[in-house]
Amino acid sequence: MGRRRRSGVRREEFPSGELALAAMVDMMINLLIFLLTLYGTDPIDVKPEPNLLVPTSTATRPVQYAADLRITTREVRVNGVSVLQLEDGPKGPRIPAAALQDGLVPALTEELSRLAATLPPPEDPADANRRKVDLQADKSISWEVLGPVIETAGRAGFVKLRFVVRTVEEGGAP
Amino acid sequence: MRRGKRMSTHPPELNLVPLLDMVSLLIQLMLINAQFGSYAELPGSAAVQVPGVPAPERLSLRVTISPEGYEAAWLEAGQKRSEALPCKPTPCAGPDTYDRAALLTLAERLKALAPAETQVVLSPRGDIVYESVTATMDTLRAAGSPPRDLFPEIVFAGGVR
Repeated sequence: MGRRRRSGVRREEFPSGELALAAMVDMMINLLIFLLTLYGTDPIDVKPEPNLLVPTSTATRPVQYAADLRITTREVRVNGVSVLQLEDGPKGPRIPAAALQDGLVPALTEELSRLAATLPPPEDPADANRRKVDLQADKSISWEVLGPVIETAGRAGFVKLRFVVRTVEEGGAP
Repeated sequence: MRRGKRMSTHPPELNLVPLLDMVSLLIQLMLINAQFGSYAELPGSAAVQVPGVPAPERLSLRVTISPEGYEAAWLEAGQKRSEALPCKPTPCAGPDTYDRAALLTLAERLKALAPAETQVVLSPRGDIVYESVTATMDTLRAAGSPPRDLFPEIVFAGGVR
């Protein structure tokens, strides 16, 4: 009897069992608008990866679309195609000696040449050997890896390097 | 005899549940693909041409990044000058130990010396990490707020033959 009474009181406290969906829809639409504003601002896809943490900079120049060259702590990729696996060295990842030839990386030359053939010709013919490349590299990668990659890219006609960095305010706040 | 149905006087309620389902799925998809934080680019170029003989009026600034610190070399009134900017302490323990303030002071002095000069050649040594290189590029390309150009045309010496 006592139990019945208590449950009766509860029903009076919560008269309606319906969810207030209108408020939830409002909230979700706001969230959707926020997410939509995040889209379409950068022409390239910069996704954080465990093996690819780009360095920070106070640069504000927006990233322009170009060939995508990524150097993670594990591999070198061109437009998503893995062209070279890095090996562990005493001071971090390094290019295997067998993959180097006169300070250049032949596998990368081959992939970049293939990519250059698929790209539309530049408006100015003088820029045919001065193509742009977006370089995303892990901040811990040494110049022993970057140097040959940059030189190889330059020799393959990708001279204009665009180093992708994460923007921070002057003083270091992201 | 059939009786006609009684019409409801209440307006029909909109079923929001499928809409909510769809929006929540869309939000999940967008959250997975969202790119938080903003990205920018630092321009540079790989030097693959044979460098010519530097003109005497050019500064021909070259900055070497080594485990000991920076070493800058340039031409001043046709005379070759250089200055070492060691890390504190030496050898450099990381990107933050490089004396970027001294490099900025030197870059500003050289810019005042040759205001038309925009190029700097960067020459990092093999075991220098990428973060140290981008920090140096940041220091050399512009200074101040609003930023004014120092040497925005950065060329990497690695490709020079």
